[in-house]
Amino acid sequence: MGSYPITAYSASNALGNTTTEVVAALDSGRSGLRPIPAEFGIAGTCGIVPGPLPALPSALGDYDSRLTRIAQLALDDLSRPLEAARKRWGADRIGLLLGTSTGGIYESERAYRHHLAHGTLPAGYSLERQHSLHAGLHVVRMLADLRGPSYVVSTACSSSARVCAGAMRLLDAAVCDAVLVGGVDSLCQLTLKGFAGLEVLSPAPCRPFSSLREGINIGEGAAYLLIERLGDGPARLLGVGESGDAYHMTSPHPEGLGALLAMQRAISAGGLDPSEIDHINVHGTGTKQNDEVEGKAIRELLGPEVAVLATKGYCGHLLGAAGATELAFTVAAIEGGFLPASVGADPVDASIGVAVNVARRDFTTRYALSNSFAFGGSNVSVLLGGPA
Amino acid sequence: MSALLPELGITGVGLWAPGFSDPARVLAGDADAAIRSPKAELLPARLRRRCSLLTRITAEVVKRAAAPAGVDLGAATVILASVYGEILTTGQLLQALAEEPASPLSPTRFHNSVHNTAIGYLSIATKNHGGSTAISAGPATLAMALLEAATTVAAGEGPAVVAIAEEPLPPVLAESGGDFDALAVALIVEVWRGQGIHARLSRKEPSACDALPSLPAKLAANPCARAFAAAAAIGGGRGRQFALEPTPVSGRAWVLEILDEGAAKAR
Repeated sequence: MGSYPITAYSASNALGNTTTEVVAALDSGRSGLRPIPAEFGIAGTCGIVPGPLPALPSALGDYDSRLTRIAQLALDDLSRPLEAARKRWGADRIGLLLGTSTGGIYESERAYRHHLAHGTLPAGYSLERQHSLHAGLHVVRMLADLRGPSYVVSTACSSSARVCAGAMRLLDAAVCDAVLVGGVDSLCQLTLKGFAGLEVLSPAPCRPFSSLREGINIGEGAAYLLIERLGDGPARLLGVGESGDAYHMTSPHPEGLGALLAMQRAISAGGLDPSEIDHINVHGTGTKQNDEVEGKAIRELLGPEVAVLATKGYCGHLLGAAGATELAFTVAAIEGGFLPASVGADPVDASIGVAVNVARRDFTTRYALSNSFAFGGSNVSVLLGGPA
Repeated sequence: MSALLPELGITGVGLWAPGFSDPARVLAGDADAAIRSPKAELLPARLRRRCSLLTRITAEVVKRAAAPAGVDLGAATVILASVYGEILTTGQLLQALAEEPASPLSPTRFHNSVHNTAIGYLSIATKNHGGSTAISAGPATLAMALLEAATTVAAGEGPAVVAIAEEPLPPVLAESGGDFDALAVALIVEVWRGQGIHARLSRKEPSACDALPSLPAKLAANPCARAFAAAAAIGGGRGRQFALEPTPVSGRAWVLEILDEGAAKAR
């Protein structure tokens, strides 16, 4: 695998509409979690994009959805770097790989309610343009004006970390000279009530890796990373490790086998030794079992000293957008020379036996891992480095 | 820089739809009314009964493609591609949300609604700890699945099993997306080493491409119909060049070329 500069990044989530707001909140340790709005029909805590969410341009108006609006919001910050990349490489040579798990389910929920009440689908609803995974892909491709290969990865909560693996393969095979990777998910009843059904939702703001953790909060948002063959940027993409637990649809392998394999493969793809990892952005959902198993794998591979950063206390678990969002956080930490607080982690669960970073501090990261694990035992770990 | 994609060997082709499990019979338009339910033998019997149609047809074609090629499914990279994924299970959840808004959802239905459900169950059944994936690209789904396979084997991670599957829509969503039958195809993709069907993937003007075989209306309406027709043509030895997607605005589409005349005749 090659090593590719990440020349720009962006994020919109509960911490703010713009990347600047998101990074400032991360720097100040301010959580964006808040009560779930009444329209979602379930009590608890979530991470909602503050908004307002501007409408799509009229040429894309048929594709209007909560998802495509969020996708557009986070793309705004990248218009200049995308223009430069198009000029440098040509739009044909720039790929687009987007992770999402929800697609436009939010609109289909409304469509089903309308159908139940009136016996027909609502005006303006189309399965292809509102519900489908590729609707969001189409909108981002048109807004970013990219004409290279483009597809959606949908492996639940590892979707938008896995896109980095596809991007490296497209760059390594010289099919593309740049790839815009990203993730987008919107809040919807299906995921909120689905996780409620699994009995893993925390009613209060989530506290990953804390002894007081009670489960997860669901969040929404979008994040992008522009990865180029050459260029200057705040960080580099050095390797991606993918693995399967081959164990259970929702429970992690009890020994953390899949997590360990993913991290090992990422480190080895980057030609590094585990001792060289300075910090790790954990999957850290905040359930008792997930954090324990991930901690075990980290202890075994990286030892008890590596700085562990859990960021879902800021904006919740963004599911299909979690990977790209936490990669954006990792790049922001590398670029800013700091390690954010793992908000909500204090008091840390000492039994997990890893060094959770509870307070913001200045910190130089040469190499970092970001983990994303998903239903179906689908694991991805991404290795990032500082600028060359 | 021009692409460095390796020449490919397609060492296995499998397909399944109601009435069809053999490429030659698809080409002949000769449906077998006895083919109504996929066996899905890769999945344990107890699990099979609880799995969605999409997961079962995926398991069915993966076995059909992999078994003759002797592929170790525990060590392969499986690339599942589908436009709407586990849409029947998703429809059940959407119906439940509309009808019983106060109730939590069935946890089993919920985790079985993710796009990578079939990959999860297949990885458990075959003890596969590799990095399998689940993708979607609308009308370019076949092209992007094969591109992902080509770059995967180029990176030395292989063989790749491309499984493309699409189940019918639930009635409410069919009002928008149409009424069509299930279908699934699987292709085993390796770097060309003299085995299988010698092929090359490239992006070019699709003007020289062969017409894909026509399908019965209920299959032709499936969003992955192109994959089914292409798999029938490749597996049945008809045609030399296939456009893998509708032609984009650039005028160049992803195209699969069959390279070796002798091998094409022999298969």
